[in-house]
Amino acid sequence: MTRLEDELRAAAAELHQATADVDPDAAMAGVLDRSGRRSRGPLFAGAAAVVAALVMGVGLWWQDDRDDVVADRVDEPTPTTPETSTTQVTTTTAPEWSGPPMLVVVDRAGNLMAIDLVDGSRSRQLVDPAELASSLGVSSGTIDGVDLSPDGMAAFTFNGREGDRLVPSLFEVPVDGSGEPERIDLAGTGYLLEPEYSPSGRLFAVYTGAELVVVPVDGGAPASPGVPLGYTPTRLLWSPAGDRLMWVPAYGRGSPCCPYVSVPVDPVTGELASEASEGTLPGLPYFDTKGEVRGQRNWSYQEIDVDASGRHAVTAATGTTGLVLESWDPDDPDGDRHPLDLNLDLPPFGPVHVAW
Amino acid sequence: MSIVSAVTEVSTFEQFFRDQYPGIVALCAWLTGDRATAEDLAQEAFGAVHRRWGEVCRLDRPGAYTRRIAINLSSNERRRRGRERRAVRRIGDGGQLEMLELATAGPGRIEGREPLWRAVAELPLQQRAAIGLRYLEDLSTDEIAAVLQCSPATVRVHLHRAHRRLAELLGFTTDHDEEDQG
Repeated sequence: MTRLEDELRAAAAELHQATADVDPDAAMAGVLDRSGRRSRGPLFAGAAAVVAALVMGVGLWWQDDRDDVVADRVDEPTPTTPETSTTQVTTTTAPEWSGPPMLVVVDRAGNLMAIDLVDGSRSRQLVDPAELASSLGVSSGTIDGVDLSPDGMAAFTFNGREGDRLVPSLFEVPVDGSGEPERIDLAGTGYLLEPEYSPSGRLFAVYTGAELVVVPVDGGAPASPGVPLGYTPTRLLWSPAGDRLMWVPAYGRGSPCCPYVSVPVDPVTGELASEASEGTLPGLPYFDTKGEVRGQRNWSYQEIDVDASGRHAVTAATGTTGLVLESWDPDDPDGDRHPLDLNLDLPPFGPVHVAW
Repeated sequence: MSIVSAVTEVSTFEQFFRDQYPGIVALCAWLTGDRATAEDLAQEAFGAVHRRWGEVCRLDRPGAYTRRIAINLSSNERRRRGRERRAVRRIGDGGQLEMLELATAGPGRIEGREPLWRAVAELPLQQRAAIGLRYLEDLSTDEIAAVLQCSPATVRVHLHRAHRRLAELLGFTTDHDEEDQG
């Protein structure tokens, strides 16, 4: 027994003592509040009271409850156009937007970079793909998608290769460089693309090569089966309320631009509805602050991401001079654009994945 | 579902809740360092279980399922606090930051052993959860793996790293290099 173990066991015993006076009966009120059944009657009236209520002919509330439980797990209604969300952007803990603090990108060499948007000299390399491949026991691999959480974590997909064997992984790493990448278990996945945090930061949406799945950020099983996809899609976006996911099916020259597909999702559990809706827009689809799907017609853009406050969109395009970033009002895609002067000495970027 | 089975499930959930609630509160307090927050998170976790009780009661380990929800909720709470602090720092309101620190160090805070709690708070969530399940609930490696939905080998890594980090932060020596392999 080490001193540390002694300390931990003593702390555990004290914690049990400190929480020994919890009152389950009183706590049940809070449980019913969260369960959404408090108005139906006190559960802890006991089985005898329930039976009495049934005899009195008012006991069907429980039967109704069970139906509710089943109902909230089955298909939700197919959305109708226009694609709008009735829930406003939650800003209870978000401050007034005062500037983009951090940007994460994958550069031409495939490195995951965190760029300090205030002081570029503090930018840092978060992940070297060669080192990561080595740590996973594969000969090579690429970072194929990245996103930034509201609380400063970068999620990225890494698809390793060892001969013909694919080793797909999803990781999280702190953008301040305070920790190593931590792998998030995703059982039985294929090629991984486009990890996207939900607006609450509690869930990931990610492509697994054959389907779109939503998983908790701390690991664990998806709340529902994924959405099977027969194509390689591009761009994946959450609505501001986190109640809808949208993606763009693959498109190219000669294809009408831009088709999109969206599906309702439970913003708490990540449960996906079984039916999706489709549409087409003259521009790159994204969600505005009200959850309406809009199109950005500037064709030089490759990525669009809306900041956590929902008030600014950043768009990225690459060219011979390097990465070009612009900020604009997501509710006015045709309005003024403001180049982000990062004062950074960055090389030209290849295929770019960018998030803020 | 028949009315009879519904009545049976009422008492089953009540029994489950009474058995498990204190332990879940203690676990959430371990993860958050705050008694009031822990009670709130525990109630939220049981609220989620209650909504799905018809399915949860058929699980082999409904207690592990509930703990997993509680751990996820504790993680969300930690992230929320982090966002609040960063937000206040970003807008440069020192007074508001001070008030925020005072609020999170309020009467619900777990008293005593502050260096240990500060060190535990430094651990990544999975490590903090693994070590909490080990010392608070005396769970085996396999049982912790069932809660965290990872392999026993991963649990051993979490425990080893947690012990090593805590020893560093507290200035202790540790021999868990060997012990955690078992």
